[in-house]
Amino acid sequence: MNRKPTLRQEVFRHILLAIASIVMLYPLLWMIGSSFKPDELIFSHPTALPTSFDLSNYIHGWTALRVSFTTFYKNSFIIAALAVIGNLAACSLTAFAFARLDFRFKRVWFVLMLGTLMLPYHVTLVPQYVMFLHFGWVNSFLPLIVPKFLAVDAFFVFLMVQFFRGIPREIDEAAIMDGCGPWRIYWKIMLPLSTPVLATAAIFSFIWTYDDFLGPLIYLNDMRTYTVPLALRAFVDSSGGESLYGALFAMSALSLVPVFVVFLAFQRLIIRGVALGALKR
Amino acid sequence: MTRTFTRREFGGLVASTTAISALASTGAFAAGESVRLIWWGNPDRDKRTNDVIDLYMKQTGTEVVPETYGWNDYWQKLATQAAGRNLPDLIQMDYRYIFEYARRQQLAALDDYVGKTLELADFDPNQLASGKVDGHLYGISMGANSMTYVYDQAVLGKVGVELPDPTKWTNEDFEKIGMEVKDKLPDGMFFVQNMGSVEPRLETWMRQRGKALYTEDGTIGYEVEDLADFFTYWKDLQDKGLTPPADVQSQDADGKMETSMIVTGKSLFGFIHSNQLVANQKLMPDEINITMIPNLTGGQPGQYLKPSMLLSMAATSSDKDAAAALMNFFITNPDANKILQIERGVSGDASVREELITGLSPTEKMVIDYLDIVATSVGPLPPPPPKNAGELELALRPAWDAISFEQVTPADGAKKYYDDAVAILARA
Amino acid sequence: MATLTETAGRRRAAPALGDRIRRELRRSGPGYLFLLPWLIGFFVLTLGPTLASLYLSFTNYDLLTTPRWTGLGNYEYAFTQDERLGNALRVTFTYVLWSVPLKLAAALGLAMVLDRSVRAVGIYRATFYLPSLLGASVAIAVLWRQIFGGEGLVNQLLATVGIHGPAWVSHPSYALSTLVILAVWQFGSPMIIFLAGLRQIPQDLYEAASMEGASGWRQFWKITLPLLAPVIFFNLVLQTIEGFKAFTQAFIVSGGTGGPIDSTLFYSLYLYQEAFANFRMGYASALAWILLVIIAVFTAVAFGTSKYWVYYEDEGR
Repeated sequence: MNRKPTLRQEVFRHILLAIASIVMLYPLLWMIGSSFKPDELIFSHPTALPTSFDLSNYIHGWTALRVSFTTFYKNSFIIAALAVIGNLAACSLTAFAFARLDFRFKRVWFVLMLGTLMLPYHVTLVPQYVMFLHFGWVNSFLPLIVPKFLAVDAFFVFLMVQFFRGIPREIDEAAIMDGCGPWRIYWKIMLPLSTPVLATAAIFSFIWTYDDFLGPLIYLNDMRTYTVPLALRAFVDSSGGESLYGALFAMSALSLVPVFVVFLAFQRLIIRGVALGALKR
Repeated sequence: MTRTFTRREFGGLVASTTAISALASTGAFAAGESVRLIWWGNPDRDKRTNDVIDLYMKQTGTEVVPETYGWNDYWQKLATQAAGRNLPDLIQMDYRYIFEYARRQQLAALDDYVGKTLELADFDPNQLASGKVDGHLYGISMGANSMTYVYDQAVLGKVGVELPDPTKWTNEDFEKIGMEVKDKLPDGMFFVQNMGSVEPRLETWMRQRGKALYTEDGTIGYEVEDLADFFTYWKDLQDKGLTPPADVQSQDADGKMETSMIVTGKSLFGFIHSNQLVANQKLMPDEINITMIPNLTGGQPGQYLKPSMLLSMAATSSDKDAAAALMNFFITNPDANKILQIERGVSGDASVREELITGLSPTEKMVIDYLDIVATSVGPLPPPPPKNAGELELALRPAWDAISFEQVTPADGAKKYYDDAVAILARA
Repeated sequence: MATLTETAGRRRAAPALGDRIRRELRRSGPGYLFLLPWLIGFFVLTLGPTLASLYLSFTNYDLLTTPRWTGLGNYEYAFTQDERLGNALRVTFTYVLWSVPLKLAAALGLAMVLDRSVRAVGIYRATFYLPSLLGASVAIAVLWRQIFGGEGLVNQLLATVGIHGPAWVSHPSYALSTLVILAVWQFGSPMIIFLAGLRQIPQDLYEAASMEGASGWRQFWKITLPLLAPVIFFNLVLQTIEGFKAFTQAFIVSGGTGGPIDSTLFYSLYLYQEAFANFRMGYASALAWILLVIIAVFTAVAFGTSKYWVYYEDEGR
């Protein structure tokens, strides 16, 4: 299956991929094309290619809401970055415990942890809100960040557990012989060897937190604390009022840029990281 | 070993928490003079509202903290806040929801403020009454509007038709015009959007027959035959080719203006509320105009002046006086209203209306003129919707779709919806 | 499983309670210390609210007034009288049954194509991942209508071969299909995971097979699939769980209505309507728990049957 491809095969493959890419990206291309059109033309003349490139949606859209997108991007980045740190720290600790340590009721906790993956969001929405309200954390970033430091994202715990189990125990045992305790093993051996999966968790964590909309909607009141996805929702008025579609598309297109860049820059690490983690030994 | 770890993580946590708190304290919860205001809207309304807030803050020094969301998200957010007893002080309310919230003790009664902090001497008493629930005032109308048939003026001119007197024309007149121009319309354009699932149109239908959607005591206000007639009427128009076919019409899935039949060029006539005219015009290159809903021959006035949205106060508001002052500013202050204009509807305050007339655009003037015409031919405000009214509105859409997609006959579809409606209302 | 803290398992006759406790602490102590963040998170953030919602499911909580106990009333209604619920279940199951296999097939297919050293493979990878980033964006609704609407791209293409297509996205028979396509369109994440899994398979296996004359298809069946089984399992379980919980896309594309005629009324969307539009949070909580049970059952079955077709190289699960 892996004979060196002939030139014809390779060209053929490229053509297929190119066509597939265009099909995949067409909706996006339409959105970007429309972002260069004034609002009256977007729906009355819905083609993907604009007749002229009008940048006003971008310029206008950036400051269309009372608070400019600079603030929204800042907020999104802060929350996402802190979420990444929290996830990496807390999930790796938890995964280490499950993968390498033994303790009573371990099975039970593990099953419960997996169980949290299955919870529909609305199960806990209101009670959690009331709880955070009692803590006085509503209208701050705290409800969005602190849970990450408490390993609430079971997906990453699961992923890291799988990865840690792929690292040979002989290394651990050698360290124990030398008198290392579990913390040393975690810090000096496990983590350094786990750079790929940590990078993976970091990237997915960043992207998913950045894209998260429901959490910010519920917990952020002051517009100055909004994140980008939340701000984008303000552009559309379903009650029948006027929506700024051109600006919406322009800002949506822009909002993809950071995540896209992050992805492009780190994708190699992802492949390597997930490879060692996803259940294969 | 573990100690080092804990210290380190703790240090990190402290550092980041401090950082976060510093960042999060942008909307400083200053104890004392601070009023929270929440509304739904769009960028245009947001800008105006924020400008009014800035004006108020400058004039009085009271801090106002704004919150705004899109319509879809607004109610989820509001309900969650209410569950946590954390509602903002001033809430923009919808006519349908105000009863739900008021009857569940979430809103403060405003009666004591009328005539004092709330200077409502010039306010139209009928419109004031629209904010009353069970005899007490829970919200003040921020603007009136009424239903309309909107149409593309340019196309109408091209097919050479003149519309009759809006206060007198009937369904028969409407259909006659439709049959005349049917084939002269541009490609893909039908005469009128199908309104089988549009609850306000249903309401007009019932009122024209002297009935209503609901009665005072929260039961259904019409007979199943009235509903069957309504569905039959619209199915008939669909069969005659005067409305778009079922699948084309249902592209207008959620009543969003930009997918409406008239904006996408698929119908000559459409249905909007008068306060949507300006926004609608912005989406279309052709000039549009509005007229009244055609009546039943010999029918009663079907329309009324509806509050497009109301401003209410939360029962849990910590500083009701400050909230009332801000409310008064929005409703009666001329400078504030010069900024807001008629984006939310036409103000019920006569002195405000006077001040505004001069600064309006032609399209906006159309709205005011229209409401003047409507005011000569309106009926009284309908009784407040019962607790589960929202469900009934939501259920109308699938009921109509089943008919228009010919899964059931109009009579059967009407019966099913009617029975469901009665059951839903009984469950309240 | 070998551990770092287990003592050598020597037993003495009837050890004293104090000793036993100390031994237990020594054995389990470090584990629990590492687990502490998760434990705090679980008990404070997850368990509390979860139990609260379980309690609420036995009440008539409407979000605004204090809840009143109604016993099994909500569950009874759900199982015996709620037609919309049956519809929501049907819609959700159909969605899962179609979107998950298609999504995984697309992900695996593209992963295999991209696994060879194609030039600029990085760009292609990113391109195919890009739609997943648009996930919950408000713009999706508009985009999807532009493509699958009455005069959308799809119909324009069909028109060139003389077919007059319906308005897919607003037609009760087809609306769900457009959402399935939306899900499949966003196959980027499982694709990345498959790519990684494929990287794990040693090349020499393929070379040896080629030398023996095995065709590409045979190699796929006999080498790729079996060795990829754990990854397939992982993706299958996670995608199915996500599918059952799906909410945002249906919410955005149908405008929160689940229409037309409830044909896109996903379970979570129905739950949301009950909770926030109809003020029946107690009932919605019951619905949420029913869904949880469904997902749990499915996952348990998946794990149970996995021993028949998935095997790992180490001894564990």
